[in-house]
Amino acid sequence: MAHRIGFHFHPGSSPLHRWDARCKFFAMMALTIGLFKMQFAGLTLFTLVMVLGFAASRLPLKPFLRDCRTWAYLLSAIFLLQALFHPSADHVWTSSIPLTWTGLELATLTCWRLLLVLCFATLFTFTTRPKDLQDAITWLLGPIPFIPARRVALMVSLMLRFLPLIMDQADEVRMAMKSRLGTERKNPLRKIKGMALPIFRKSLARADELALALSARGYREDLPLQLPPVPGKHLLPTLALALLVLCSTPLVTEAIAGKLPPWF
Amino acid sequence: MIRLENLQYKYADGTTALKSIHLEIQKGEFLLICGPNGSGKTTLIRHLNGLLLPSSGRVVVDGVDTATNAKHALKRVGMVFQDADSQIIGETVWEDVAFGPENMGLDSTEIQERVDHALDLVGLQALAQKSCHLLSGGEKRRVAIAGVLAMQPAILVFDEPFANLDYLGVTQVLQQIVRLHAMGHTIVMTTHDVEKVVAHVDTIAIVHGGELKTVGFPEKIIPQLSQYGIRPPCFSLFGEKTVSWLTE
Repeated sequence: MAHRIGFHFHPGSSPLHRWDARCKFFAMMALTIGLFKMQFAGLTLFTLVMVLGFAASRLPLKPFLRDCRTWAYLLSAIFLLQALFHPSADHVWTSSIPLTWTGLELATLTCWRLLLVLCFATLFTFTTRPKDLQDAITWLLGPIPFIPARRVALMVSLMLRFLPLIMDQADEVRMAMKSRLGTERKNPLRKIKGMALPIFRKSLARADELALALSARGYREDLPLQLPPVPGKHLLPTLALALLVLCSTPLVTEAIAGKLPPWF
Repeated sequence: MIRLENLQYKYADGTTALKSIHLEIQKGEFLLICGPNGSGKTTLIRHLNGLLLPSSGRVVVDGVDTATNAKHALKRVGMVFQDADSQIIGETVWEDVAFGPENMGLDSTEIQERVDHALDLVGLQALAQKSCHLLSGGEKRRVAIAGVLAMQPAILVFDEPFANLDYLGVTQVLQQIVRLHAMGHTIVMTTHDVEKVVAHVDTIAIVHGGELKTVGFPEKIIPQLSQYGIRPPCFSLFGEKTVSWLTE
């Protein structure tokens, strides 16, 4: 659909679009692992990096923010669970309300990290051609024995290809429900059931068709991968980003700055 | 009954899907909106019941602006989607047709009556307890129509109702639509396949590139179809009189 940004590739000529998919993939892995180790300072720094990345890739902000609304529900639920059920004693109000300062801090950190991971994933899929990603995964997994690299790569690229379609399908079902006043239902379980059944049915049918279409077009896994060597200048930003991630994790920052408060 | 005033719709990425559309749909009218794929037909009709709200301009249903009261439009305008599988929510035919009336908060006797009546109208009473996923394409489309009819809207909107249907399926669905029009419903239908329905419509509107190019009686519009990338009906190509798909 024309109005969705999340997990769609958009052709472009920005530096991020031109960055070799293998290097970008490594950078993305380093980022994802690093983000889960970072505290407030690191997350602030990488929020800035994310903003720069968005600007460099010319990702349209308005549709992106619209997509974010869907994530907001999930993140809100995670925030509430973390904030309310953390077993600490520093209550914000009284002990009868299970909201603690530690819980709030942890919930903020978790949601911030998840949001950044989602933003970087959007940026990655926005600037990486699915075929390039597929080749990058095949190249990466190729040397590992007993792993069907091409099949795994195909599955990843198909997942990325079909996720937006499933989301579009969900939109279509939501509209069909709304037109029959299904959104007026008070019971959330009935609402979920109404949404889930048609989406699952369509997704499974589509998966069947896809398997048949792949066979019909002679899909095979034994084709050799033809990729040029990784250009040196593409490695530099990957190394720089990996270094930045490493320096932003508490282990390194603590080592450099000595003893620091735990929230840093 | 429905008035579109200077309707504009833009997707969030800035693509203009509809440009300055003015259109009036009268009570009891059978309006065919045709245009090639991607011309904006579906986006246009989704404004009629408030599923989409205009970026500028307004859509007025029975004097009520959809932007101020979308629920009113949802009750007055029933929509049958192009893909029946997206619309079918219930496990059985009966359960699915009852979905709309249940959402309207009706009591069980009223729901039963409405579902039975809707199933009678589309000739699916015998399949009431059948699983929806076991139905044929034409039957699914008729379940979708029954699901909308059970909500008793005054206006029925059909989005490409003949897509992916065989000849029998097309005639069955067309028969239902023509009968509903004869019963007094206002019908709005989108299609790029004009031939199947043109014999029964009162007015044709051509949408092309998000613009409403022309509206008028079929005899006036049919000669213009090909210039907008829509295949004219066979009978017009051979210079013959209008032929209905329901005539054996």
